[in-house]
Amino acid sequence: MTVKTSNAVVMRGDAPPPTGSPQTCRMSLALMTELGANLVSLVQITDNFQQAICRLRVADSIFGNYIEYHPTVFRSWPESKEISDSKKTLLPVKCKECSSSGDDLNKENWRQPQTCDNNLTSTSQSCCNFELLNTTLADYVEVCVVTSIEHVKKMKNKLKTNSKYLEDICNNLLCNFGIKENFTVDFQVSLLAKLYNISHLIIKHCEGGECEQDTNAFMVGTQTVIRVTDIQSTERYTSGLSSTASPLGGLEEIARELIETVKIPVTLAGCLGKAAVRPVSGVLLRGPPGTGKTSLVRYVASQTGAHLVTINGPEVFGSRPGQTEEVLQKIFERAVLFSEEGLCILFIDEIDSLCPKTRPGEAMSDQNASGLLFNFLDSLHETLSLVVIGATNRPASLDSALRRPGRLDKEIMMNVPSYQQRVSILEVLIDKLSVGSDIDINKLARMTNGYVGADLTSLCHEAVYSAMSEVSSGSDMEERGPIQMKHFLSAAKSITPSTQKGSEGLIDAPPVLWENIGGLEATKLQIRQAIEWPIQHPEAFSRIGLPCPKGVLLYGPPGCCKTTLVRAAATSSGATFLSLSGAQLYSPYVGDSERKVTEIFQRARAGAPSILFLDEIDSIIGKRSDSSSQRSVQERVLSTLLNELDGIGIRMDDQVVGGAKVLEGDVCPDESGQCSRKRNSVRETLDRRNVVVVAATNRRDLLDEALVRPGRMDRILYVPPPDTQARRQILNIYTRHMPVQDVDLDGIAMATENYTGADLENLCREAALKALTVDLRADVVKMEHFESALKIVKPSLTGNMIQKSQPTKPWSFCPKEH
Amino acid sequence: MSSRQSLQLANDNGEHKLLLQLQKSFKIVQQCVTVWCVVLTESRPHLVTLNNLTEQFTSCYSTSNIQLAAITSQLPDVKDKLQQKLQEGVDAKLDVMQEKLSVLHGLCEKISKQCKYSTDLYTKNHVKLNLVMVTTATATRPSIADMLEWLQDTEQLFLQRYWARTYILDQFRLEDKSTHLSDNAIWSYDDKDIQKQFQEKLSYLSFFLEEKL
Repeated sequence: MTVKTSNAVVMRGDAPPPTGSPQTCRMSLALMTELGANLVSLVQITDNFQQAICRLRVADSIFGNYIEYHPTVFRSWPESKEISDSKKTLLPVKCKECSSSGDDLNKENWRQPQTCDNNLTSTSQSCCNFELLNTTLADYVEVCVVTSIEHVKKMKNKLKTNSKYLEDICNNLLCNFGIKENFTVDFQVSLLAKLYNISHLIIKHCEGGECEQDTNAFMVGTQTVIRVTDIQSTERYTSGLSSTASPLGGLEEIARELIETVKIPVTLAGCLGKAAVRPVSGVLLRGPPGTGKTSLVRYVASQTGAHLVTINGPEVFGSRPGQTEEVLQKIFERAVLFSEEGLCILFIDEIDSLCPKTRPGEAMSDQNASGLLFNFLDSLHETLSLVVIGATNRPASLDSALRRPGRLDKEIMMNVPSYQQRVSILEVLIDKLSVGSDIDINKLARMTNGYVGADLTSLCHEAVYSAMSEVSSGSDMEERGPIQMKHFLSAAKSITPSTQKGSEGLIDAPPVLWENIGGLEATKLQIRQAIEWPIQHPEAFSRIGLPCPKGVLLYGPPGCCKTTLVRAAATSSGATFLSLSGAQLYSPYVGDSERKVTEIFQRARAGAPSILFLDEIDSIIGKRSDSSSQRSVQERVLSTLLNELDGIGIRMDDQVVGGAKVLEGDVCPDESGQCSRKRNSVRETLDRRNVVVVAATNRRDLLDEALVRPGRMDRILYVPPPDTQARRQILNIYTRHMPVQDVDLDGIAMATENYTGADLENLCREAALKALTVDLRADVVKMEHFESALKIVKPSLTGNMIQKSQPTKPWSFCPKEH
Repeated sequence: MSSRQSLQLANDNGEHKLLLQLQKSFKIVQQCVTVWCVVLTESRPHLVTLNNLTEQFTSCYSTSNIQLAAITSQLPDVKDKLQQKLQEGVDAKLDVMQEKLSVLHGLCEKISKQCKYSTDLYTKNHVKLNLVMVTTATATRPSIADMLEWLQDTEQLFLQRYWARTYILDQFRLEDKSTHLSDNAIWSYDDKDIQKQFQEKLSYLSFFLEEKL
């Protein structure tokens, strides 16, 4: 019999009832008659989460179709593990029987469940299936005892020395229970089981009677012979029940590596023979926050079946001296207990707070905890089934003694996800949502440059919320549509990638299109070549063997839209855009400015591909002079900048991108069609992670030679003042939204020699103002207004200035040698 | 239809038999519960003595020889002898408790047997017994379904209490303080709660138990 939730009041307890008989399903008379049951029947209830065996009883409910049951004897559906609680409300879960009529069901599922009892929750599943069981008395039952970890050892001893005792207590517990093979009996609320220290009994095997059907259940009587085959810890058992093995996008490579690290020493213990020493007993995961370090460890634990013991760095600290060590010692002992039972992972989250770097002269109080951890790690060499995994986002502040081989031997870098990784993360996330057909994952992945896994999750949540807010504003809940691309796009606007949060250089620049810049066609092309192409077509660059430029210097007279050009390049390339100005950089503290430069480069690398824009670079860093003996801040900033641009390398712990291991997983399969491309793919990825420094100045002569050498500022582009043709186009753009009448733009363009783009904008504004001055109700701007405006607005450039800022010799592009 | 006629009808499908059996079962269970309480009350002074003895033993056990120097100079083996004596006392009391437990076991078995008879009788006749009929209560008696359920629940409850007591007594070690009965809740109170539960059900059954079927 199948009962739909919409047609009946179905109450499903989460745990066995605290009082009364545990294995009970109360059902109203009508349903019982329909099922053909009697007062002693056993029924198997199948819902979307698990199967349960219950004893049927009549419910005295006012509802004609009332069902209430507690899954005391249950079996979880392996496939239902992925259905998380939060999703239940979003996704109507379809049952096998009802999947044919799925559409009707979805609607029905949105109806609010009816009255709730005190400790019962209404299920959101769409239907439950009821099946009457034939019952026979069991002759022989094999069980696995689940007990708390402290009692596992004791019970195992008991099993060896006095198994009869264990079997008797199991018989007492199971007496009068209806069971089936592979079902578990939950005793967590039973007083007797608490005395016995048994939380669950897993039925491994049943024998009895003659009929051997699938629907056959067994009753345990006092005569039933029970054999205990295994002892398991409650913690491991319950974590196995609740663990969600949802795959992680883009982390397959690292996950496989970790799983191997955890598993191999145990599986190959025999082969290793005498040298059965764990090759790797500790792993350090490092990477920016939100890249999935913690979820990766959870995933690995669920995949390897290892028990996860977690230490949250700040959680173990106590107020009393010695309390921290006490708590830590207890956790270590627990971990060792679990490792005796099977695989165990000790996960230390935020390990940097537990083992901070010690500086001379600092208090020694924190070092006790570090010392304890070192001792523990050193003692692990003999234990094959215990792995310690530490996670941190500040590897630089870790005690270096922790990172030596023998303690945390292996370091795994968790990156800011690449484009391909973002695609797979989004695929995993979006797979869980009911989305419309117009979702373009590739486009979303392209948009979300510099986002980490947590940001992408947040993006999906935002999209769900925006879709839900539409529903709630609409009249009917049942008209709920799927989540569409527009929801994702609106969500993307409200999310700043976490790697860029609190960044110095993060700015909100209004987008500028190339078409909005008049003239300067040659310059535009050069800038696109230098900035846009390496980011958008890295494969073409690597095919030709052309290294991507690291820096571009724009110079030219003021007001000739150098800044606007950079903005347009940022808009069209879709890269992370960071900007640094002198005002942000200089601070009264010594060394602070240099730190800021390093930091902003680090952020730029995290969000790569990115453009780092240094406007008015001559004011930020000048030229190194020989005269002054004392080095100024500017010189120190310059040297930092030079190092960041093309120094010996990046400091290991600051590295956010890199490591060949990670890059292997980075290879884009969409280019794998051709072998030659495949070979270059690793290099392509390197290039794709490029940071382009774009600097603008109008005093080229003030810059240091070391900065403008090839390899740093590879391309030096002159942005000339607009010529007649360009001026005509600029005027066109500015008068686009202006009602002009009989205006000879060509004539104005001819007459505005030495006018810059900014001047021309001013001219148009003046002309429009003039028109309004004459008559406030004027609706057109005429030639005469322009002519009078020309008399006021004078060119900001002089022949001398242009002469000065012009390139002395034609520039040549010389790629950096590799 | 007179009550005689309706009973006649009931006789045909086994309801009468079942009611008779239920009446008998409840009467026996009622007796058992009374005896159960008496046994527990009787064992109370023994339990107090046992706790007393164990406490003495623990104190004696934990006293060092130096503290007893004044006495041991005259009576060198006083501690061992005292321990021996106390041990014997405890053993004797434990035997008494075991006896009481075996009485409780007998009661449990009686209840189980009655429960089994009634359930078996229902199972045998369930085809003939209409589900509506067995779930309908009359003015004088609760429904058969309810009565069967109560019987099963009572059986389970008493069995659990018996097993718990047995387990605790089994675990008893004089040297291990955590296994002593004085700390234990199950031995310390006299199952007042389950008595009360049963009494509540009995109040529904009072007419039925006195009815002449």
